[in-house]
Amino acid sequence: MPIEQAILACGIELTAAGEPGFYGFAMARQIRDASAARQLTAHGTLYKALARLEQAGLLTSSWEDPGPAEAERRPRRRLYQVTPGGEQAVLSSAGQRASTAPRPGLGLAPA
Amino acid sequence: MTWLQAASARVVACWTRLYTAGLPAPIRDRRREEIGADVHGQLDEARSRRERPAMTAAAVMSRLVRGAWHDLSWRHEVSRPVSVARWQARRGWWVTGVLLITVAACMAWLSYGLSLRNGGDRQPLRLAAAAAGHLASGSPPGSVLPPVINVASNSAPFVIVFDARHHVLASSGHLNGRTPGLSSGVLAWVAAHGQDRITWQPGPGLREAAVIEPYGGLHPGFVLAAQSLQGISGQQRSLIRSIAYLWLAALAVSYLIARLLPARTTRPRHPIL
Repeated sequence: MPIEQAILACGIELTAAGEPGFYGFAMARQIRDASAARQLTAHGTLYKALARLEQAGLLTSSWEDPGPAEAERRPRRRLYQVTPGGEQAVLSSAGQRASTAPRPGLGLAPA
Repeated sequence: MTWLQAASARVVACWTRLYTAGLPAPIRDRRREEIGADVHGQLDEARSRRERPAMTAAAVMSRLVRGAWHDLSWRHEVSRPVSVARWQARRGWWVTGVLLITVAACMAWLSYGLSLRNGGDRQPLRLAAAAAGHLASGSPPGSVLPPVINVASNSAPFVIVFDARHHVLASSGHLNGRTPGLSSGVLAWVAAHGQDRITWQPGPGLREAAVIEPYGGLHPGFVLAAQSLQGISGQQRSLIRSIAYLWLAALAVSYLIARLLPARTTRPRHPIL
């Protein structure tokens, strides 16, 4: 599941970079930059994958506080966080990739 | 924001409203808000990068088009548990409705079918009563007969007069040149119980509404008046077809109503919430 792997890997990267949580567009942008793609992930592809990952317990989500959104005069964002189960899934997936066909980078493939 | 960017954002909003329509409110509103925030973020980023408006609008539209199939499949996934639960809640009512519709169809068939069949007895009843009256008052058997017919090819009424020993005295109905035979058990039953109404099959493919009436007088006997049920059989077949079509249509409509009628409640049922 390339898009799901990409979301989890990028989510971990964003968290490591100090973001408390990531939102949909930030994730689309991160996947585009990480995979050096020209286009952002499609809405339908991204949000369907986010919903599936959340349903599988690999992500959690909640609405951000209304304060920042009001201050910046923008719609509020749904913030996602990778769960320990999600981190474990990324690690085991990366281990499998390394044992079969090692290659540099995240190997992301946005739809 | 240029008009082109605004238009692309509006198209995405319209599409999102379309494919989330009818979903439970929490799922619907969450998806709409998330997409709205996403497009807002994309337009913001494009502004900060001084991207050409046409490029930004094309990128927004491209994300819509490339993801449209996933939007629809997501809708299918989240709406399925709702529709299944709705159907499970309504299935009992639908089964009850099916039973009521079936009972109503059976009753309509019985009442109209019997009414049609009984209508076939009217003419023979009149003929038999008149003939029995004349025979009891001493009229000769040949004088109470209507015009002679071939029972196989003519659906007009006919009369057969029997004596008390079940011998045919006169007949206006012929089948292959002979008087149609009647079981002597029928006449014995009439001798014991009085008038009888039967559906008589004097030959293959022939159905007659027959009334047998005993008569008294100096020379008692029995008079049989009969008329073909050919026309009534056609009406009965037509009635059965009509009721069957109505029954099937009622089942189909009730099924569609049970499956597709929107639920009154919009309680969230999807497990992601």
